[in-house]
Amino acid sequence: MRRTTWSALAGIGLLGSLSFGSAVHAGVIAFGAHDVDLGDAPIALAVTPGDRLVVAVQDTNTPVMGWFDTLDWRGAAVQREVDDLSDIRCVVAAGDADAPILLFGGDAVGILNVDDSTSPPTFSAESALGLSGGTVTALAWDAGRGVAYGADDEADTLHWIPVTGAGGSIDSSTGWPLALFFTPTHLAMIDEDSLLVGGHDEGDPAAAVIDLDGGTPSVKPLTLDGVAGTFVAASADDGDGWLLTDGGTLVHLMFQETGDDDDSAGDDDDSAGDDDDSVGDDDDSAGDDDDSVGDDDDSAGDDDDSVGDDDDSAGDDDDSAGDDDDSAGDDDDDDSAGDDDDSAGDDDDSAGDDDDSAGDDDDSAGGSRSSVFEEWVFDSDAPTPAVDLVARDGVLYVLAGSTVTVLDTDGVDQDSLALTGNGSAMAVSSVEDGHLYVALGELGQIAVLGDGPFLEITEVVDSAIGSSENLEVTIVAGEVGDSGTCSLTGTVDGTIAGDGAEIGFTEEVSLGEATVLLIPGSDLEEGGHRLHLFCGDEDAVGRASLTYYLGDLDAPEGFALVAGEARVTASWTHGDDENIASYELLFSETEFVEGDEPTGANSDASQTSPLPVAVPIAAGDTVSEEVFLLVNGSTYYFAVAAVDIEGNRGPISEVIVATPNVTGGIAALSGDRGCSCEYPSDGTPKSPPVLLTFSLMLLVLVRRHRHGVR
Amino acid sequence: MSLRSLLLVSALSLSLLPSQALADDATKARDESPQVMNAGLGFGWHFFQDDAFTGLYGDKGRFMTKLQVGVVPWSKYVHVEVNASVSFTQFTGSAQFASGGASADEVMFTLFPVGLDLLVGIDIVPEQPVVPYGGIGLNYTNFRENETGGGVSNPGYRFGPSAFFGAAFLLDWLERSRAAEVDSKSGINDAFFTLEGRFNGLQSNFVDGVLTPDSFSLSSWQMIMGIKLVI
Repeated sequence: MRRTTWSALAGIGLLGSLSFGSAVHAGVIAFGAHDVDLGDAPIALAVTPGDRLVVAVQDTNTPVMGWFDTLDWRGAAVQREVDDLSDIRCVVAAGDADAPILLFGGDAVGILNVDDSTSPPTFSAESALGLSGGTVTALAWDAGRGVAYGADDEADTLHWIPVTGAGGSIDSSTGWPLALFFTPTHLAMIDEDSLLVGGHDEGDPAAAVIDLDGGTPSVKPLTLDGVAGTFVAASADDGDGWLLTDGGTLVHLMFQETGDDDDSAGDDDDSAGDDDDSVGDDDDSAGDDDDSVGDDDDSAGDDDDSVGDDDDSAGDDDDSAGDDDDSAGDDDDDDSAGDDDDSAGDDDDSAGDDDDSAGDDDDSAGGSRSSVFEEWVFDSDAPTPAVDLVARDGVLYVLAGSTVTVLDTDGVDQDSLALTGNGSAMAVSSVEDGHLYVALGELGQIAVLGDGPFLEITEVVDSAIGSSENLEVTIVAGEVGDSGTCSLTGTVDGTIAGDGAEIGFTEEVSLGEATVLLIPGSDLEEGGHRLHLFCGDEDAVGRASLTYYLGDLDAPEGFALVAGEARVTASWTHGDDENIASYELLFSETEFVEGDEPTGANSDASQTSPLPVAVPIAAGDTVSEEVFLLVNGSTYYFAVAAVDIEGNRGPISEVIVATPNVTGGIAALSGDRGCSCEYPSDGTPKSPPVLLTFSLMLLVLVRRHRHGVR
Repeated sequence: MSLRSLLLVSALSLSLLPSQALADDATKARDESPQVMNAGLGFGWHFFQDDAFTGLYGDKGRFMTKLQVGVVPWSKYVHVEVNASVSFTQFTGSAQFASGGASADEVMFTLFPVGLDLLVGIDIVPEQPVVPYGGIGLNYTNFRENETGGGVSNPGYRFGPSAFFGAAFLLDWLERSRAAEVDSKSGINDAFFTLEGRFNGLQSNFVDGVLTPDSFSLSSWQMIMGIKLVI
């Protein structure tokens, strides 16, 4: 019997206490002792609608991505190369919980479809979209349109990437790629019609809101007065957009709910309360963004000549440079090209503009609302240099060095969480799941931050037991800082969402204390299974899982692998257990553990996992099985398990890896120059037969000569 | 004087001692046919010297066979032969990954050495029972390395000098009358059992006509024993 220590968790450890008023991230946030080791530096993170964490990793040669079941926490469930990308820069999750779609940006855009119904998940299709030399450094997903937007920081453009299933295209709609007046580096969808773009213009920070309403996108530059440094992140939350500089400066874009830019009531038009021609609107009255010279006018509180308005003061949408005024490159209501003025593409009086023509943010119903985003610039209390920002549920998470700072929407520091290493990227899961993930680039790990309560399995004395034995598990349960008890229940198989077969075992567990559970084998199912444990109440449940084997088989011993060219030979010792009817060789390109069902296959699928292997004649014999037609250079994980007469698979051996690769002898590996002599087509050297023939002829001649003499 | 040298000198001395038997057979020797050519078949072992080579194929001796033919331009007091030979050797080893480490794959190494030698033996008296000899030569060794299971095949060659020494033990002494009869009927003058040590310096091939060391060496010591017929 083996003694195995498990460390599974779902919301773990304790670091600090936060109290800010919003949903799932309120209350206690625990730092995850569960730093998932990736073995390489994570570049970018994303969370799918199904709360699976996707990690883009720039491996030594080709980018790969990790797929983590955040509900189960079995570690890196999938590791797969992203074809046709040699340089990976960003990842975004699309689709829905049942059919997630992943998009990877870099020197191409890769699209992967995920089938999460299997464990580990499989990727049924993929496509790669070329960029003609550009590089997508940021992606944003527009769920309403089924379109991803890609920021190309080499071409200074935005790409339009409609996605259907595993297919997609680039810039297949009018107006795309969209040329920008600055270099885009970060994207965030503020709402269904507004895309926030942050970047730089020859070293100066620059940003814009892309109005996606209507057939043709339009660019609304932001003024960014008082903003210095480099934008490091963009995020959006509940209709608000956020930009963060490395110096900790936050730009908050707030959509003004009232009014449109047209002439209809409730629009940005000529009615009061709108951006129209009434006072207080962007219309033709004083104080509006309207069609009169000198509008964006001079009344306080309007887009006029007051600070903070679209008026004639610096920093406003007015007539000063850098403003929405009458200078080129501004969002102003003026007459310069590239402005929101009287030129095409501007908010002016020309068709297609935010002017008085139909289809514009003008005097017609249904115009653009980008002009009503209001910018607020303030310095946060977060440490610097900041590297990433995530806005969620009214809370801002700012990553700087080895610290995650939690800010309120005014940029005030609420609390800080220390990481075990410097972070490089962040992602946040759904409100229901409530985890924050931080890529620890230097350590090649992912740190998990989540709410309590937690449930941690600290030890499993022996995960392989007989039916009359108990499974001895030590757990620590509780909500940080809490006391009392929770009700512990469990399921066999299913997921940690609790959809497996319930076991009869229940127990009240003291929170915050190590508790030793003795789960009777009679409560468990025979064979190898995953046991999920839950401890909590209706509001919150800590979750953890482990794998056990109930039966009479032991894990095979002496398991070893030898890799060759496109093949791996596995060997192990046949035990003397009469219950062994056969063996199963498990293999996969992705790491797996006890309880997983690896679905590896060779190139022509002539060998698939689990691969049945007959038992040898005598106990103690070495069993050997070769898996061939494997992919050179790919790492394969192997394990073997015995199978009893009833077909139950016993505990698996140690999971070990092998990497088939190109092999050769000394001539091939030493770079020998080879033979300059000519060989016949069959490859046989000419010299020996020629020499032999010559020798035999010589013998005959001499022999004849000798007899002649005599 | 080393043990090896002592043994060599002793063997040389013994071979030169005129025995009574030799004297008795002087008349018969005069009736022998002239020595014109020779042919031999031998077998023995290669002992390769390149660490990189032996690291992959092991440092134990590799069995070889050798066929040799030649002419005898002079055979009075000093026995001279000019010989051509061809050998064959084939053995397997464990393939390796480019990054190092043994692979599960096997590789097979095949050698076809051909040689041209000048042999000089000390053959002072007729029917001298032991003829010590030595010589030098040139060796051209074709090789081919195949990965088992239909893998890549890499041919090549090495060219270089060789030097050898050995002793030829006259088998006519075993049954002298029979030897004379064979000579009269077939022209086979003498039959020898040979024991030979040989070093081949094989680490180069020709690049633009210049002999240039290549990536690995096939230099080896050979221990060869065989039968040689002088016709």
